[in-house]
Amino acid sequence: MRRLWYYARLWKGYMRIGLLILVQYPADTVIWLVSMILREASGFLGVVTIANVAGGLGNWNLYEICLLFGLCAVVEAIGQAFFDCVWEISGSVRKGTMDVILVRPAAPFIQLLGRRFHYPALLSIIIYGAVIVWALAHLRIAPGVGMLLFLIEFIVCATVINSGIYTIFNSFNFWIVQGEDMAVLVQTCREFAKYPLAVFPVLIRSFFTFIIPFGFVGFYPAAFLAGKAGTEVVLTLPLCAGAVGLAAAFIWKKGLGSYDSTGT
Amino acid sequence: MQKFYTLVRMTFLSKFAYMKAFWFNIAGTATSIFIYYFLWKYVFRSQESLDGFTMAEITTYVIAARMLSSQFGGGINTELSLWIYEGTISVELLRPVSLFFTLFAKRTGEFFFFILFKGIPITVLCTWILKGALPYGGAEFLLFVVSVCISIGIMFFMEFMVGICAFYTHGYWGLAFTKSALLSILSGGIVPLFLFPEGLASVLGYMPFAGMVSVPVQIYLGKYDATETLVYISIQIIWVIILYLAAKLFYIHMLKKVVVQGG
Repeated sequence: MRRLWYYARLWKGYMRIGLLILVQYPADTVIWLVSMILREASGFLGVVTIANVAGGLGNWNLYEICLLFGLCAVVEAIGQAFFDCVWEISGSVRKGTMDVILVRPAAPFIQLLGRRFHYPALLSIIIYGAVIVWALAHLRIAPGVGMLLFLIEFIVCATVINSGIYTIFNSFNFWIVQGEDMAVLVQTCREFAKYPLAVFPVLIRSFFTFIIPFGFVGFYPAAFLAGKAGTEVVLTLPLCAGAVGLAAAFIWKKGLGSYDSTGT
Repeated sequence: MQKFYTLVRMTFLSKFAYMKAFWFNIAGTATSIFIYYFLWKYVFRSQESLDGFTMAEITTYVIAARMLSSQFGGGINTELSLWIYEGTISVELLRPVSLFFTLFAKRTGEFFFFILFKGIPITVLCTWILKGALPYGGAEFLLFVVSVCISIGIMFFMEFMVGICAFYTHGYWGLAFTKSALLSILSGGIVPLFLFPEGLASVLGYMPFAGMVSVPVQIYLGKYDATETLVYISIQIIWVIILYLAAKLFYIHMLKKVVVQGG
């Protein structure tokens, strides 16, 4: 219990630091806001235009595609807000600043995450949340307790999957130099998951279902909400999140174990 | 000229040293080509052509457009912003060659590296595998090359101005992300400009952004006749001049404002 209290206080401190960074460079904060919205919007624009020309993709209409995009974007925005620092692993390993984290009493992973919160991402959470609500309204999916519970389950599980995958690939930096390029490649591949996976060849579809399960971050939950997939999604989502979460924790621990400082 | 050559060579070699990292970059671009290829393929299942584009032509558009717009992720703006952020700009300003000159040489080196190790091999490979259209003709191909070369000018001056913005924002990632997202939308790097609403499409056609992706690719595919090609290339040149003057003014303004963080 005391431990928990300690972490709550620590987290509050980190949030305060994030806020201070935010107001310290106001112009940069504005640019961040713009960039976060634009990054998702550019892909969104592409798929909406293509779907508009074709009158939908496969058996997915425009609103269903918007729903899928909204789900994906919200999860990514949560990751950007609170889990963005996993991208700093490579720099910390190369410069040896991971030492600082290791000598302090709190859990290293919490400390890593606490380095910086990107509050600007909260705005994109709101915007893409609105896209989800808008799409759901157009699809005439009645809001209810069941849907709300599923959305909560989705947000928790998908965040674990999404940020877990980033953590895994960024943790490879403990063993190889410039491993973040691999993580960036994984992030690029994530683009696939923003579109209805049914459009792509079976090979790609199974890759994003079984090997790197980005399909669970958007496609399968959206398919469930739109009535294209059955209740198996509700069950597999937490299973997948558990598997990715455990793998991420294991690789992070292993990586931290094999970390030796730069010696400076 | 000797100085320029040395700087170009240096950039080229330092890029070469990170060849392993570049493989991932190449794979990323190839991935994004594949995504859009599959999406378009789906569209063309139910129709033969779209605004006069066949599947083979759209494939080529996707390959060339994704390839050219993958340059937006790089560029000298991050380096310039970083110099400003870390304060090393003071050293750069003291050097006997101008900042413009050094950065342009770096950009040229980066461009050559991009063309040689990514542009040509991936374009040829993807065109072959995905069955894209070949250039419309020899003259069109030459004009395409000319247009791409002019586009470095447009890109460089824009990157320069974006980089300098770090004086106001004191950060660099946000700027870099904004730039690459905005440029790829406005240049036609994500969807061809003719798919936008008509008014918007024609306005964007005359903007400098189109000169980086849309114009060269349309020339390559033979979508412009001789006069149109000449008009669009002249517009590109005019934009290079305008952007040069803008960058110069911005630079002079910046020099008066320069604040170096720390020491």
